[in-house]
This record gives sequence, structure tokens and C-alpha cells, in this order.
Amino acid sequence: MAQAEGQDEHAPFENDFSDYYDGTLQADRRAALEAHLGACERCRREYEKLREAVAQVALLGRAAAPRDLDDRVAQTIHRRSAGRFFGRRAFGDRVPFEVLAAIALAILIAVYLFARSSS
Amino acid sequence: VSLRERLLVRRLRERDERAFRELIDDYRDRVYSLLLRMLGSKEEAEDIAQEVFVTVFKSIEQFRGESKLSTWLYRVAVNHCKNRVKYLARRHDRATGALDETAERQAAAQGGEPVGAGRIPAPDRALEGAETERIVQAAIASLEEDHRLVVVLRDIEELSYEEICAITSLPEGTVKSRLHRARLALKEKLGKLM
Repeated sequence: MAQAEGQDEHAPFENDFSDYYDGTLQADRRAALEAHLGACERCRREYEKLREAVAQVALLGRAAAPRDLDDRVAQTIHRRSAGRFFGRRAFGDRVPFEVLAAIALAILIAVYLFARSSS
Repeated sequence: VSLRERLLVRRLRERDERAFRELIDDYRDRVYSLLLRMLGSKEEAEDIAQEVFVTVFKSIEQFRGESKLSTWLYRVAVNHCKNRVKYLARRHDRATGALDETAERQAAAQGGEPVGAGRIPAPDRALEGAETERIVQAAIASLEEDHRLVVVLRDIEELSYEEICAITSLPEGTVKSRLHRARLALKEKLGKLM
């Protein structure tokens, strides 16, 4: 019974640990929690354990996906769409439009110059 | 929503394959990492990540631009993830327990390499770091699915509460409450192990 009463005394503060860690706790409750942490070694220790646990989780960081994921997705879509998408690409699909336009213009100029020099 | 994102979405709706590869380039790590931390298995995460992007390709018309593209993508990933967990449960695998075992088997098969470690720690700390990562991943895997999700979104993906609410369709109070309980559980699990 005495232990339960002891736990009840700390519970309201422990319930605020997560918001306190995130910095989203209301100012009055933050002040009350900080005052309690200053005086209560048990809660200070428990809060430190929570802070350390969350820090360890955060340290996992973002894992890197396999580099060929896009090719695998493209192959899956190609297969499921019966070849409608992500098929073998034609020259025009692989080369940007700007490059194709520049090549076409160069050919036209060459033909024009050749025709002019011939005449 | 940025101009680049609007243009990207327009190209995706036109089934522009280059745009789709750009989308995968932009989001592959986010989607894969979320799935890896949720499912605890590289193979599962790779398979479901593929399905997520296939769904995005097929369903891009359903994205109405009311949220960020990343939010919508996370939502698609979370839905796939939940379905996968349910599927595994239906196969009489206790989802988290089975995935935890898979994670441990993989780590053992890879000489202690942590599941999903895409980063290479400094050589002198590699062993210690790998063991710590394995323990933390196992602690996350042991959480209830709903608690695991908010921890991954908040403490690994570092999303705001607003984004988490948009992804999970939960009110902020529920997200905070689940996160609080998840963190307390992690405190107990990691406090004993570390």
C-alpha cells in the first residue's frame, strides 16, 4: 500500500516525461516537473533512462535502401503491366529532347551548307 | 507544396517513367527504413518497399495534393506495412516475435551485422555499435505495432506531430499518448539490456 502511494506520488510527473523530452509540455507543468526533478532522485534517474533510450533509438537513423530498388520496381511494373510500362526504351526515351533537337538542327545546317556549296 | 513537387506529381500522372525513377530516388530510403524498422527484416522491407512504389505508380491519381507527397507516401507505406503484419499474423506467426527471431537469425548469419545497417560505423566501434543496434532494433520490434509506428515516425524519421497525425489519421492526443507509452516501454527494455 505504501509502495502504491509512493508510485502515485511520482506518476503524474512520469506521465509528462515524453512531452518534456519533446519540448511540448505546457509551461506550468514544465516548471512543476523541473522542480520535482530537482528534488526527486528517483524521477531524475527514470527520466535520464528514458532520455537515453530515446537517444539510442534515434541513433539507429535512417537505413539505406538497396541501390537497385528502382530497377526492381520497374521490372515488377513492366511484368504486371504486360510490358506496357518500363519496357526496353527506344533511343528517343534515353536521350533528352534537348540533345535530340540539337542533333537535328546540326544535321539540317550541315545539309543546307552542303547543298549551298554544291550549287 | 513546392513547385518541384507539383511538377513531379504532374509528370507522374502522365506516367512519365523518368519522373517515377526520380520519385524512387527521393523516397526510397525513407520508405525502406520505415518498413525495416517496423517489420524487422531486410527481405520483408525490400519486398514491401517494392509494393509501395508499385502502388504509388498505379494510384498517383488518388493523390489530391491536400498533403505533402511524402505524407501520402508514408501513408501508403504504413498501410502496406499493417497489411503485411496482419498477413503474417494470419499465418500463425506471432508477428513481432517471429520478426524478432528473423532479425536475430539474420544478424547471426551476417556475423552480428545489425539488421538494416546501411551505414558503416567507425572500425574501432563497429562491433560495439552493431551489438547496440541489434539490441535497440530488437527492443523496437518487441513493441506493440501501434506503439512501434509512432516511435519510428517520431524518433527515427523525426517527423512532426502534425505529419504523424496526417499519416496515421490519429488525433494528436492519441499520438502523444502512444508515444509516451512506447518510450516508457523502451526505457524499461533498454534499461535492463544496456
